[in-house]
Parts: sequence; structure tokens; C-alpha cells
Amino acid sequence: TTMQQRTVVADKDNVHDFLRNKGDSIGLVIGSCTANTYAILACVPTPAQPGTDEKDNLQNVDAIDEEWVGEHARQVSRMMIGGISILGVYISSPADISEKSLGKMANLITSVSQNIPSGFIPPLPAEGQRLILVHASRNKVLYRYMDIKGGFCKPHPSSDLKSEANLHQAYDVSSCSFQVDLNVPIPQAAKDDPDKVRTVLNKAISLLKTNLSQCECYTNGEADPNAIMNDVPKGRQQHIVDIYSSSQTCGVVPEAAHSPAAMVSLGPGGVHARCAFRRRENKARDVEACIKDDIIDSLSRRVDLLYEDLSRTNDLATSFTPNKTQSPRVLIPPRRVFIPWLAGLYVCDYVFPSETPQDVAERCRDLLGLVVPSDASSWFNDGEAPPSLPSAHMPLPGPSQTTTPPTLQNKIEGPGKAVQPLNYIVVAAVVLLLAVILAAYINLT
Amino acid sequence: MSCVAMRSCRAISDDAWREERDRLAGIVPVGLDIIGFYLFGSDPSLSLNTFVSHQHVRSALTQPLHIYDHSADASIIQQKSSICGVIIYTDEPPASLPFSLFSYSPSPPHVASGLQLVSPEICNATQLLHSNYNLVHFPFNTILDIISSPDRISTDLQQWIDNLSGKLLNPSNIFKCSSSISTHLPDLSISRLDVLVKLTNNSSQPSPAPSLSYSDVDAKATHITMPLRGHVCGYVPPSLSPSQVGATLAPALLNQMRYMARGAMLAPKTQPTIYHFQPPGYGHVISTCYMIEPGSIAEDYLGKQRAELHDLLLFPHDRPLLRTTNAILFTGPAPKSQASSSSSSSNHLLDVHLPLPTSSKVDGRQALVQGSYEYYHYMQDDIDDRGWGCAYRSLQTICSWLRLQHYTNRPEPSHLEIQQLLVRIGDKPPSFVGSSQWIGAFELSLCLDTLYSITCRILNLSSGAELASRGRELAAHFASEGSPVMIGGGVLAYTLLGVDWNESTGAVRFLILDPHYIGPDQGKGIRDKGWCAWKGPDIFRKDSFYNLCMPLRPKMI
Repeated sequence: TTMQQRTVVADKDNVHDFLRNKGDSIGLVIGSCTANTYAILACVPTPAQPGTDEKDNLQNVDAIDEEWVGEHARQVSRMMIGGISILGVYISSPADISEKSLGKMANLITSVSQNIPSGFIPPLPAEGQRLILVHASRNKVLYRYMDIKGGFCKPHPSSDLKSEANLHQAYDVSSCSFQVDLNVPIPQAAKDDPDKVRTVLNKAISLLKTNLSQCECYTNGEADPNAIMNDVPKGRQQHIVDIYSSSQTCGVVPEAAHSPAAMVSLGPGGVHARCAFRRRENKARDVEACIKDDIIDSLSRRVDLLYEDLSRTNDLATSFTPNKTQSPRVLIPPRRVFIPWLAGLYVCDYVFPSETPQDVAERCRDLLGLVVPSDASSWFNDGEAPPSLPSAHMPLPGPSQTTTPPTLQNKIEGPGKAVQPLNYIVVAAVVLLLAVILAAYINLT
Repeated sequence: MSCVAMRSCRAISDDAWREERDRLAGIVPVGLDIIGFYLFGSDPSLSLNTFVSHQHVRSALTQPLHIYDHSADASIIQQKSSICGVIIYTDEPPASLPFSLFSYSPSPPHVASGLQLVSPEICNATQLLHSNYNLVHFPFNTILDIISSPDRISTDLQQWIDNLSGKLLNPSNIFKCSSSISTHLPDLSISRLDVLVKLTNNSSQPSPAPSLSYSDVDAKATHITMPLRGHVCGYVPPSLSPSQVGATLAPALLNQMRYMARGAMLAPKTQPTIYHFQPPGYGHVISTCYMIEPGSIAEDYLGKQRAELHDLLLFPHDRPLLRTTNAILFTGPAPKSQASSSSSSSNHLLDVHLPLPTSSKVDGRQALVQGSYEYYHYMQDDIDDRGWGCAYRSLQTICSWLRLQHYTNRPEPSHLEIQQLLVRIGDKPPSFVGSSQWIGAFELSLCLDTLYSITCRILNLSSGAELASRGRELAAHFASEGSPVMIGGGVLAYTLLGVDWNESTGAVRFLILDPHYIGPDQGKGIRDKGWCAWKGPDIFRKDSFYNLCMPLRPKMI
């Protein structure tokens, strides 16, 4: 099946009806891409920029901020589980898209593609990538392919977007908790330089990916990868994947670090991976590859988030310098939790130790338009438990423990929000002290 | 399980005993235990009780044992107390050793041939082992990825082993057994064990997410990365499930990994490599780890290590038994049975004489070629050497024997190469090359000396009739050297593979491998038509000179 022959279908409730009822809007389309089908599961509106009106963005297509939408795509892509990704952009507006506007759309698509990890974008057979532009006007919902190659985006002619009810129910979900324990030597040339350390760590994660690709998967205790594919579907199935390394394979031997001067240890701990797949379309081996990719992506994402958090609080440099006590400096990357989405599927979020379910709820609302279940205990602990720290060491007492990570919302409000309550306490204490002093003075006099 | 290996220790001190016991534990396969030991030497005051009174000697023995006080009279065996050991006060070299035997001796080790009379169970040990147990081999590949400094090798190594142990001994791992074969062990039931090591933990309790830590490393530290390919063997009852087999072999694998990792950390430029051996006539597999230098010829620099192993295992020092080329290979196509004299990897028949019945016509004792050879005869390899090539073919048979005993990797020389060699060393004129001229015992000895540094004994006989009186000499050659002999005389050359010699009557028969055969390489036909057969002295012409080329086994290991 070639790229051109894929069927494009969208969920009736979460795409067609949503767009009809949404009014003027712009955002992302999310779903899955298999060999046969682009399945668009939902539309996710991009939050309005501070000080702007959403309607203004759409009536004047030229005023759409591609970087803003790109940033939205970047943050949303981190909330996707395996098998689900951003497939493109939607625009809901009463007017047809003119040729000039199509150029703007192409720029928008290009910006989005640059903010999504390339592995998540369906590739073209020869070279390049393909995203989808969905346009909903008064009476019709259309889509067109947008092919990206060499930094340029080429729109294809539009077609009617077919709808299908309950598209999300065709998906099964597989999950596993993969035990990670990486000890990565840092050569002298990279010592105490966070960026160079990150490069070395990326290489180690890449090596883990290669070795993981040679591992065997058992699903629900079965070695036959097609066992779950051949079962008669009885509604959505949840599958447990176990991953094994074979004694027959050695794996890729890492390159010995010249003059190791430091070491980064990632783990030991469990990375909880999840992937959704269309039972009737995905091949078993593809599902196994998908969950392995989700493990690696999740590992990389949390390190990215940790770096971003440390950069934002200006602690990045100090976090990768020797501890005065010579004990290891321990950092806490966020843990992964899973939030129910579309009646049986999931999105994920990364939670720092100081964060609460409210923080997660805000991000889901702002970035995905998702209202999380009110009972946080059902999802806030679905995924990974907080890391267990080495008993001899305390974590770095830095801002990552006390402030929330950046979201589109926080970019608007700034990081100072978490500091305000403290100011009131200080003022009250000063007032009280002054009152005590004044009372004592009055007594004396 | 039944214990079939006997061991003792070279020295009596705690450290030496422990070191040797650990060393032996890595060599002898899983399933074989210490059940006793031998002391031997010439000093009559050597006391078994004194030796075994040491606590650490007792603690090393895994079963309650019985003492056998073996005097010079091998038939006297007395059961005395709870310790097993034998003192042997004779210096005769061993006739054969079917199982591991490690000696403590103040003098060079020799073991009486009466050893086999000590216990009937031990004599049948090999048979019991092979009939009641499966040989299982367990290859396991992992990566040694470790940062360590010279003063922390033990600590870091222990941590690495602990991590590996946690992974290997995870009760959720999946062990699998499959059938395996080895051309070295064609009659044995062999299984291969594999393990799938579980990397996930899908329990109902969520696993803690990974943390990230950054720490300094000692300035003297080095980072060592290399693949480690472990491989242990063991004898296990066939009734064990794969997971039980895994539980049995896993501790031995971890010990082996510890040994290999330590070797790699101390000598990072070498690659620890496991080899398994079972020398001819030996009762069980033995394993060792050689530190291989990539790009070098292992046999050249492993001589000292081989010599130590030969001493430890009481192997003779006159034949290679533990070279890397002697190693057992556990993968390969199923071999044809030896009864049909199957060919080796080449197209020449292997050991074509083996199915022949023992010669009983002289009621003597057989002394045969030791080890394998390939049958070379007329018209092979697209060379028409009818009428002149018989001695060349006999030489090629001898060269194949040298190769199959692992004295050399060199392939057998062709007729042309033999002629070129003789011209090069000045024995023949240049016109010899490409001719159909005969060669004799002397030329054979020159070739063997030049190609392999082999010394030959040349026996010159003025008449073929003299061969009838050379039975003792030829029997001694096959008993001590065991190499094929070329007999040239009259107009014919033969390859002699053994003699049947009656010491009382002096009667002798000769096992002849005739290089004049022309026909297909089918062992049965060759034997039935007498091209490989026992023959009397009458085949040798009384009116002809005969010269024998008797290659002496090189004293090398």
C-alpha cells in the first residue's frame, strides 16, 4: 500500500461534530497512521495567545502565529502514548482557504513538523514527510495532504473527510514497565558541561534503543506475536507486554570512554510504556516495535523536561558539577502518569515531585482541552511510582522541587506564581512583630 | 547424584587449597563433585590420615566418604573411616585415565595402572555418566561495561557480578532446552540451554521511576567494555525441567563470568574465551578460559597455560590435547556414524579401519594407530598417480594424522608440493618436479622434518621376511607414538596402521592400508576387498629391501 492509497477517516463525534460545533478555531489533529489508514481520533484546539481573541486569529489567517501552534504541537507530542501522534492541523472557519491562505497553511504545517520528533511523522516513500490539513467550513469537512520536503511544504488537492463513529473503539492498548539501569561514563572533555553530558547520555539511550530492538516480546505471556491479533475482538483489550533479552545475543558493545571523569546513572527504575494500536490493521511486530519506541521516547522526554526545568531555574550548570561532599548529585526527572482519554485510550503527562493532580489537570485542560476525571487517585498513580532515592543521598534541593514546569499557560503567567503565598506570610509576621514591640513600648511608658 | 570425579590438592595451605579448589571448580563441569583424592609418591611414610586431618580438606569434600588404604598390592582394599583417599606407592605411568584426577605429590605425578581396581563404581563411572545423564551446554552472552580503578577492582567486579546475578537468577526468566550435537561427541545425548532474561516488571505495584545521578570518578579509573561469551557445561538428569537445569547451571555460569571479567579487567587488551575439551578416552568434558589476544596466534602464547593444565589434569606432555583447535564445537551438521567410516570435512574417508574385527589369528595383543587419519589412495584429487604415487599417498595419510591430532593446521601437501620441497632442500634435481618418480622412506622423513619439524625413525630391512620378527618393535611404536608407518619396499609402498603381535610365539599380523586402491571412497567395499585389512607377513617379498618411516610423535602440547 502506497502513501497515496491510505484511507483517511475521522471520528464522527470528536472530529466532525466537534468541528461543526466549535466555531472558529485552529488546532492540532491527533490520531494514528497505519499502513492502510490515517485515523483521526480527535481535534485539540491551540490555546489562544495572551491578549488575543481566538476569532481574530482565524478571520485573519495571516495573523496565525505558526510558532505558537508549533510550540503547542511540541508540548502535546510529549503527552502522546505510543501509536498515537499529531497527524496535522485543523482549521475551522467559515471561509474557504484561498491560494494565499494555503501558503500560510503550508508554513503552519512546516512549523508543526519542526516541533514534532521526526519519528512520529509518517514518512513519504522516497524522502520527506506527510501531515494532514483538515479544513472545516459551514457544511463540509475536507482534508488535504501536506508533504514536507527540504523545508518546503507542498499542499495536495482537498478531499472530503470521511467520518466513522466510535473510531477509538477499534484500538487495543499494550503496556509494560521496562527496568532501566544505565551507567554512562562521561569523558574528561565533557565533564561538568551539561550540554556535553546530554550528548553522551543521548548516545547511551540510542545504544539502548539498538539493543532493545533485538529483544523478544511476550504479550500476555504468549511468545507468538500474532496471538492477540488472531483473537476475536470483544471490546477493547488491554495487553501486558514482557520484554526479554536472549542469552544468544550480546548486544552492541558501547565504545569505551577515554579517561572517564564522571558518571551519569539513569536508574534503576521502571519506565512505563504504553501504545495503542488498531487490532485489524497493525502487524504484531509493528506493535512490539511501537512499545519499544515508546520506552525510548519516554526516557528521552523526561530527561528533556528535567533539563528544561533546571534551565528555567538557572540550576542546570550547578546540577552537573561535583558535590562538595563527593557524594553523587541526585536529580529527579518527572515520572510518567496516564490520564484516560476518549473512553479507553490514554494520554500521558510527566509529573515532578512537587506537583499535584491539579497541575496535571491544568495542563490537560490547556493543552488538550481534556477534563480529567475528578477522582485523581484513579489516574495520578497510574504509571510510575515516585523514584526511590539512594538512602545515603538527598536530592538536590533546587527549584525543580518547588515550582511547576513550564506550560503554554505558565509561559503567559511566568514562573513567579508559586512564590506569592510566601510573601503574605512574611508581611503578616512583620506586622505581628511590630505589634508586639509597640505593645511592649506602651507598657513601659 | 553419583560422583565420578576424584580430586586432590597440590598444596596444603588454606589459600593454595582454596585457590586450587576454585580453579578445579571452573574446569570440571557442573554435576561432578569432589568425592576423594589420591596421594602418591615414593616415600613410604606418606600418611593419608595426616593429609586429610586438615579441616579445610575435609570441608571441601561434599559427601561422607570411605578410606581405601591401597598398598602395592592393588587388590587389597580396606574400608576404615569416613574419608576417601588412596595412597599409591608406585611410579608406573598411567595406562589410561577415564576421569579427572588431580594429584598431590611431592614427586612428579604418576598413577598406577592399578587405579582402576580401586572401586568398580569408578571404573564404570564414564559409562554411568553417559547413560544416566545428559550433557547440557549453556552459552550466555553479555557485555562487560565497567569503570574501575586498580584499587577497586574487587569491589567493582563484585558489584557487576551482583547485578548480573540479579538478572540471571530472576525467577521470571524463561529457560529453554533444545537438542544439540557435536562432531566431537557423536554418540552423546546433548542439549543446549538458553535463557530469556526478563527486562520488565509488570507487577500490580507501579515500579518507581528512574532517578538521575551525577558523580565523579577516580582519576585512575578506566572504562572497560567488551563482550563476554560465557559457556558452561554440566551433566544433568534427563528428567529435569529447563528451569531446573537453569538453576543448576546458573551459579557455575556466574563463577565463570566472574573469572572472565576479572581476567579482562586485569588484562584489558585480551578477550577471555571459553573452550571445552574431551580428549580421546577421557570420561567427561573439561572447560577452561584462555585469554586470547586478538590478531595473534593463540597456540603460540598459551603454551605455559596449557602446560599448567596438562600438569593439573595429569595429561601427557607429548601430544596436544588442549589447543584451541582441540576444542569441542557444539554446533554443526549431524556426523555420519563411524561404522560407515564417514569422511571428514574433506572428501577422504576417516578411520577406515575402525569397523574391522579384531585380528585373532595370532592370538596376540593389538597395537593400533592412536587418533584419526584420512585414507589417501591412487587417483584422488584428480591426480592420476597410478604406478608411482603410492608413497606420496602414504605420506599424505601420515600428514592427515598430524593435522587431526592438532599438531598442525597445514593441509596435506600435494604430489607437486612434495616434489618441489625435495628439490628446494636439495635432495632431488629440478627435473624431479612434475615427474612420476617414486619416493621412499628417506624422502618421507625429509618432508616430515621440513614441513612439520617431525623426527622419524627409519628402519632398514634387508628382506621383507625380517618384518615377521619386528613385531615387538612395531607394537612398541604404536603403543608409544601411535603414528601411521610407511613401509616401502620392492615396488610397493603401504601404510601400516597397527600390528597384532603374540609376545609368546612372536607371530605377528599387520593392519595394512593400501594406497594402490582405485575406486569410490566407500569404506565397506574397501574393507571387504582387502584394501584395508589384516595381513600376514607373506605380503612382503623376501627378495626385496624394505625401509620403514616411523614418525615420532612431537613432544609438544
